[in-house]
Amino acid sequence: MTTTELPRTVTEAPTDMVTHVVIGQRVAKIEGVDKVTGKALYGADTSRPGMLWGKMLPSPHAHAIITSIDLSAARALPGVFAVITGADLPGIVAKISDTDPTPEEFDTPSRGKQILAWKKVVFFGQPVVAVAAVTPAIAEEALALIKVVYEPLPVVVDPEAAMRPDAPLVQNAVFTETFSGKATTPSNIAKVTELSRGNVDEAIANAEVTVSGTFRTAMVHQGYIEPQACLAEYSADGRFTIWTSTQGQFGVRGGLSGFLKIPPRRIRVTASEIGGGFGAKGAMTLEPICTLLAYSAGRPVKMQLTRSEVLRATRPAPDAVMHVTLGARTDGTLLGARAAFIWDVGAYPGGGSVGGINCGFGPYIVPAYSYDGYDVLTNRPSTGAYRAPNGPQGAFAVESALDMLAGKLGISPITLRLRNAVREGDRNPSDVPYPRIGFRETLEAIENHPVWASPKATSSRPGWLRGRGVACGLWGGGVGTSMAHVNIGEDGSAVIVTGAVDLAGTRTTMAQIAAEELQIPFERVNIVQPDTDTAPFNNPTGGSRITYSLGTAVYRAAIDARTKLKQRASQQFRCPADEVDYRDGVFWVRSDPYVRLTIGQVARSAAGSGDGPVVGTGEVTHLLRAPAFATQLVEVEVDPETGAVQVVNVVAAQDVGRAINPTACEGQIQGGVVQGIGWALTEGYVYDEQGRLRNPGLLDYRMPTALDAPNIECVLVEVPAIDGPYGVRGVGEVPIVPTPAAVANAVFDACAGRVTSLPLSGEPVIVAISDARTGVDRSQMVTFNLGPISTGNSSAPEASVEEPKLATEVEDYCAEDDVAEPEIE
Amino acid sequence: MAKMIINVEVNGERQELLTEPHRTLLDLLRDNLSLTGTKEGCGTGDCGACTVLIDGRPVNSCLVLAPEAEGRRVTTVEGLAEDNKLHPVQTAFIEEGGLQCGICTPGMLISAVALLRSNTEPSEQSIRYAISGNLCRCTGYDKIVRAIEVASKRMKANAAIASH
Repeated sequence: MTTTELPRTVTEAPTDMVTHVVIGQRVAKIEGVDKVTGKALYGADTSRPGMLWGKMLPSPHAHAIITSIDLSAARALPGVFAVITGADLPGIVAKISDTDPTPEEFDTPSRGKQILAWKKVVFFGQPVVAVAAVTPAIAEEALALIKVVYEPLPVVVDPEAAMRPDAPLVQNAVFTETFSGKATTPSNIAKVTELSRGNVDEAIANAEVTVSGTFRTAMVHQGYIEPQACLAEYSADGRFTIWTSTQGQFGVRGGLSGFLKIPPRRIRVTASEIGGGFGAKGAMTLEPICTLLAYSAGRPVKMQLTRSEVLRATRPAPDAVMHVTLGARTDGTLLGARAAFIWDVGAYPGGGSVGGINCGFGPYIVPAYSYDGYDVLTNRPSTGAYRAPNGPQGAFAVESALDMLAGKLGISPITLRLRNAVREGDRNPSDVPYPRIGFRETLEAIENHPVWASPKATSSRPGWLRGRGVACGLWGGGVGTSMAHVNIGEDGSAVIVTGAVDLAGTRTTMAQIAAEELQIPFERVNIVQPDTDTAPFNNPTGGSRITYSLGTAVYRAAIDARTKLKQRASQQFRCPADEVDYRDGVFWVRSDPYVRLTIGQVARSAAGSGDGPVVGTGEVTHLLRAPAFATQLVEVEVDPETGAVQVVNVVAAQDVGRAINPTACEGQIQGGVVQGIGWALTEGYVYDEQGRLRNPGLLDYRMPTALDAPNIECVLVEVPAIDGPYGVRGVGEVPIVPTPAAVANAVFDACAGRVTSLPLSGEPVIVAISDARTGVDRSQMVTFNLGPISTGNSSAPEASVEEPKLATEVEDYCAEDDVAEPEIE
Repeated sequence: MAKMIINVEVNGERQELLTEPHRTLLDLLRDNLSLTGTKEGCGTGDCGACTVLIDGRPVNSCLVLAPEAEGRRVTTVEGLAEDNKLHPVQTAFIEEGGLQCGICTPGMLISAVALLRSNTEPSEQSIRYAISGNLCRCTGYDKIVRAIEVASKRMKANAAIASH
């Protein structure tokens, strides 16, 4: 039997210990050194020999027919290696895949298929032509030489206007989708969602008090500081290699596989370090066009969006028009609610109403309701996920209405919410029951907080008014497939191998989980995230699912590794595995605790004997969702002269289930709150009547700076989730949900003006104050009337479906689809 | 366009670089020297991700044309650590959670180092002012401000020890 070098002291060794030594610790970020020294490689930081630069020509119109495109001068420019239009897509894909795609496959109303506009453009800044050249300057010069003739069409950028029968049709082949089927004539209303329970008319008629309001939010951008960037390379063996800033490298592999019609084995994707995503980099942006350019040019191609391209033509969050009516008893008990949420999803279908409804109304028990959602197409960029997608908009409407109700009833906004707060077993608007949740606990945390308990301070700024507001939020929780390996080194250290992208700190929490379960110091765990050929499969990072789902996979992999190590130790002890005990890096034989081996000794021996070295594996597909709730208290100061609003203090209570790393949890909450402050006060797309974005830069699209951000105190509430390791819940999404509403409620508290549209800083505040002084109640003036709307009986003329004319004097690299005879219109 | 030679000192090393005059200092750093730690977030001087020190002062390198760097001393994030030892600001950012995705971190660190060189005891407000040209979308700034506070205290303590 192997002897041990350890001193012979008797050890108490309970193996079922529940004291966590690494979980709950504020350990420093594991990749921190790479990030503070500039070594971390982001999307634009990788280069390849012979690399070209790709650029795209944006449409100057929001809605226009492409009459003709003249590429001849661009193709003739020295240093230009590829020029691609929408017409080229089927031909290039045919060559790559050896299939025969039809042009119609790429001419569908899908943003993912129409990576370049063809026949008509549907939003300002939409890419029309892509080029690859030896330098960025030559690529830009080539773009300037391309002549596109457009025939402008009527533009619609207002979702309510877009719903009317006479509205210009954004897409010719989008048919209203409802729960009962699809319409047969095209419409701008892409989807109608209807959720209902009980008799809402009766409930509201019988209510002792009602409130109504129409609430509007602006289109906002996720605002990641790193513009999308991608590098693609094609090899003569038929394989593509992609380096890209993405939230999911396997998502990119799968997406490209579908787009290019080739099997995943021909695609290798490396997710770079990612400079912020917030949902936006969950979908592909540059990858398909960069891949096609690299194939066509026969050279690696790098593309990086400019900031104005990011703002004009990625996928921002939808703006919304939301009408809400609440009916309640005088004690505040909600009896019924009616709502119509109109989502401006931009020029292509997507987005979705249900999320906003479930986030907005999900926190409350409403016995009778009718919630309608409309996804409406406009001539704006198609929209996508932004942190708790559609939650902040929905919560802005519902939480503002609740604040109005509390004011009307003269009860505390926290009391009102506690009276109606959902508990375990209650059902959300989509009729899904909640598992164990910690909503009430977050409300109580704010109610008991010294800031709420203390009298309101007055502003130190002369003339400014101070106010305090509360709002709540919900995120249903993200789930999905995750896998991890835990490789045990011959010194007993561990390396986690995962294919999931770390958006902002999950590498560290994964290492904490592995250290905890292997009972080794955190410093002996490392984590790597290699490419799709090397790493185990993972769904993209999003929906606050990584700590929950990947955490489960890592937890299982670490336990698997520990079990295997125990078995290896038993081989070295020459005793049955069930007689081996383990704690804190030491194995021993239960019957003789003096016979011991360290984890390093076991691993070292196993490297060359017995059953060999140890790799633990863990996988998970779908866990039960773990909803996360938050309640926020916001204090603002308002200048009644200018309408300026400064958020001066925030207390954010959130049920995190179990804080694996409190510093990381707080960082997520503080970041979400400040994004919410931007949404509330200053951020918003501004379009002119022609549908051109007027603020496509960070000077005019105004995100909060350090001077705009307040102190944010985080209260971590820990009500364990019933699934997932240690009771952990996803943390990232929910902190943005309550903030815009809490800011608006605080502004009302400060100046008695109810602001119902975002962003609110400035004029909306002055109007609201003036209304309050003159007794104008706009919420009562608004009679929300949708009709007449069009869901498939549009009288709008269809846009032309003629093929544009293409002119090129240079022989095409892709001959078979080099533009048939130009059609004469 | 005709290329020109730029002589510039980067992170203590003299460099002779061939570039077109329309390129920026940011391009020079990233493309000629492969110093990709300096990031481009907007290209218009609004986000601060490309902040470097020129002769000790923080500047958006995307707004500096390459010829303007002639004869200057430039410090990038790669030049903050010395002898494999992190600058106290770098250490504090890691320990205090002053970074998440890390894309703004190089510029943020440079702005913080510039501040602490001129003000060894900055107030919270002066820290916020010093980094107000550096946008961060992940952290909400709170832990960045704390990290710079911690770094300033440590640097002051270290200086006190060194002076004894």
